[in-house]
Amino acid sequence: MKQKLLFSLCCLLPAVIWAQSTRFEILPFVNGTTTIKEGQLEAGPFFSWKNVSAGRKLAIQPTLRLPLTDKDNNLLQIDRFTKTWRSIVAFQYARDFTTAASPLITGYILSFQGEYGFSEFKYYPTGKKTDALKEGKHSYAFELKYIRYRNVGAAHGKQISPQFRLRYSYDWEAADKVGVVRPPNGNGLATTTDMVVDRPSATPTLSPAAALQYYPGQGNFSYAPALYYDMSGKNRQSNPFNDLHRLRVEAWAFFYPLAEGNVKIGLSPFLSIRTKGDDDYRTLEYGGLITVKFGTTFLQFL
Amino acid sequence: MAKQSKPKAGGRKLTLSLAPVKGSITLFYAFVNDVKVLWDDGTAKRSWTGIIPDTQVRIKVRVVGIGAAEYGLNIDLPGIANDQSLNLQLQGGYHETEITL
Repeated sequence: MKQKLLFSLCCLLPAVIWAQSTRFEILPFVNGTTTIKEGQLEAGPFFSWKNVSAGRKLAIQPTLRLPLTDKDNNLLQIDRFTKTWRSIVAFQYARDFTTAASPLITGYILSFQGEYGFSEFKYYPTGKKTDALKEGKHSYAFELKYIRYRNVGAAHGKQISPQFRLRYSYDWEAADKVGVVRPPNGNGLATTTDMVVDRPSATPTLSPAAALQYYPGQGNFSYAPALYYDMSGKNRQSNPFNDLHRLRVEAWAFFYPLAEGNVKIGLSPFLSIRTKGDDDYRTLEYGGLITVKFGTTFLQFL
Repeated sequence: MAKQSKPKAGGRKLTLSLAPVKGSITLFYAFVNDVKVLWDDGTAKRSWTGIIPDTQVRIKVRVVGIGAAEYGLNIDLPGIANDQSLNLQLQGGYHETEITL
């Protein structure tokens, strides 16, 4: 069985990821946001309330994510054929305890995200175009994230940020296309047509993660050891514990160039160990990861 | 620790802006008479506008980032100090400055 978990391709090949985003004011307390990332367009309002003097902020962001029809031109076409979409609602609560008098800079960010999407899958179990079957499937995911930060508010002070994330997802995916042999034509030539013959599959996954961001107070590098434990369940079941488990260890070093745009460039070796079940990879896999992020900060990691 | 209180109403309008210039800025803070008026991440320009008392006011800016990142501090106090801008640099990921108006 092909496991399409986050750790598979993502951790076996070096990856370079960046996004284009913009935020603009619609009304007081309401902003509009758009993001184009990995061939997907996300758009929606952004509601925020804050009491800065008390150090409290609440933000709610409902968004709609749609795949780009033409990635080269950032073109999204919405019509009766648009059958893959995802709605996302994110809540973020931030608390900050920093004062003018105390040297400590400290606080936390707690966020929760729920995702729901509907996709229609078409497949041909007999290998004939006339015998098409359609199935509409609901995918969903939940994510909880906690980011703590604590710095010594002084020149060359150390900065640390422990971070935790828990994500559960239940995603439906179309089966791969296979070549179906057509009957020979008048000249005796047999050809093949690529078709989806299998039903769509759904994999439940649960992935807790923990990381510790650390800046030593000098230089342009920060460091972040991170631990992920990805668990997946059997096809079409909601239990995420009964199939494949993998532990992944990463050790990131981020470089922050003195350039405009809050850029960080990250590099990490990784080690992925299969602790339960079976997949297409070796029990122990290793390799490297690269990332380039724009408009980001030290705190944004998991 | 100083007790925080809201800035008292007065006759002077103050606009305070902090913006990233170079490198990575994580957090911006600004305090007016020890009251936190600005707290945001350092990915974009952040501003606060409010009325400050006619008496002496102490502004404190605290900025967290990485290395020697640079940020811009802009103070606009119409009639007294129009658009005063400063480019400041972190030292080992931190910088703070105090201004009395």
